[in-house]
Amino acid sequence: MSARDTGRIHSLEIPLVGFSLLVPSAVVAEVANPGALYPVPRAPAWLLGVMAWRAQPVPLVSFEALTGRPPADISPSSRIVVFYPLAGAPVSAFFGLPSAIEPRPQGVTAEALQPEDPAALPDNALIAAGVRIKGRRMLIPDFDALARTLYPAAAP
Amino acid sequence: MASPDHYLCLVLEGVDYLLPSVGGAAIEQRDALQPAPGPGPLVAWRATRLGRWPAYGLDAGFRPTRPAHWQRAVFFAHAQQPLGLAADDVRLLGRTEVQVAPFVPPGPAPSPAGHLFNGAWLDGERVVLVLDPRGLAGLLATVAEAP
Repeated sequence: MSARDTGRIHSLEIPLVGFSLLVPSAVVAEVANPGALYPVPRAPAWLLGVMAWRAQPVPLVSFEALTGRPPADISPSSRIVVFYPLAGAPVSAFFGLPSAIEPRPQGVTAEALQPEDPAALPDNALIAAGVRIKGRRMLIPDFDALARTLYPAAAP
Repeated sequence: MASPDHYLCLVLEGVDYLLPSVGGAAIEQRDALQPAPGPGPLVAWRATRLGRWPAYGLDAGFRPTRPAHWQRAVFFAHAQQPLGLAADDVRLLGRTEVQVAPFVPPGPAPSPAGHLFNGAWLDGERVVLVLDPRGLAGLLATVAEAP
């Protein structure tokens, strides 16, 4: 019986600085410890650098900076949420998103979700929606918009 | 990405970058080049039978600069004329020494010629970015055209 059959979507709450993201676990390849970070010259401020992960280069992206906030520092308590390549992106384009602390698994059901008032959400194309779970607000990223931002030449 | 016979390891302000040898790059020692006076990033010329090829300085972040301690320049093909990049040092690495994985930098390309990098060599936990010659030439062309 799949997660969808039971009405429960396995998700991951990713605590950032000032807000949390909620993403389906299926888009996450791994939660890794931070590794050595190497800058990418002439890149946007939201591209923090590139690190080695499973013998491949993984760029680290600051969602805070993508949404107009200062990029968060990566600390020893941070974790790197490594995402599978987005639709339309190059097949090897895994990317990482630093989480302030260990991400929390969430078994999300329709009953547990309360939609957030859209007027209370940041006015940003990368935010698809907001929800409240047990009183905590979480933002759901728009992965198509994220693909267009990260890979403008490849995304549809 | 073409498979080169070897890579050039360019050192800019102490940071290593790889450049595939595809396209026939030429390496010149600083002493063999004509110095270009002035405060800008044009640091030297290479005199050839076909004309003079300019060499430019870039810092480790690939911003135009006038490096003080460069020792060699690498020249590679570009549309109008070959362009050169001054580097602290240039070393040759054989293909068997380097395992390059594809890497597309997220975000917009810094010049119309495309991204600066198209691969990365993972030496354990260390990541060395691999330059795309077209993207590098395009960036140097924008440096050359800047007032």
